[in-house]
Amino acid sequence: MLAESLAPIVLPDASGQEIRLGSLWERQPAVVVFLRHYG
Amino acid sequence: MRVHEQDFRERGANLAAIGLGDERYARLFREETGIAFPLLIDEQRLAYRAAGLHNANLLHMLRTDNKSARDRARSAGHRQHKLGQNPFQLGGSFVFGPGNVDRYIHISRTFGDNASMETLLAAIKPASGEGRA
Repeated sequence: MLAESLAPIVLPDASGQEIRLGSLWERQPAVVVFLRHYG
Repeated sequence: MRVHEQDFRERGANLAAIGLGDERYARLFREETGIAFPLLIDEQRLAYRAAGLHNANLLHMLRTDNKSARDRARSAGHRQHKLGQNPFQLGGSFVFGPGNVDRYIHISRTFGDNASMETLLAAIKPASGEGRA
């Protein structure tokens, strides 16, 4: 399961707040888009 | 994606984008585009690698499907922002959850190979429906 592999990864957002990826889809569905570049 | 943000929210979904730029770059992008969903920074490519995303090469730029994708993007009013640290890094789109469930996976094979917003929205529907049953 890809969701399981990605879940523990923690990344900062634009304001420096760290977000654990799994928290995005723990209780509700989540759409996650990996950008090729910012644009 | 930002145009459909409300549609995703109405279906009860979280929305997040992940990019390779640094914090300053991400802040500028947010200001320019006005997006409200989280824009996460993956400078070390931890998530990109875990997701198995591909890299393109110079030959990909010559493909006709890339020209078509560029034309489509231009006609839709999109413009190219500054490239991230790896211009050959390709992206991907995923719908997960609730819980560690893979609902939809699209890994880009070349530039401009993106999942449509309609496909992503459709992938959320079963989860929303299950919640109401």
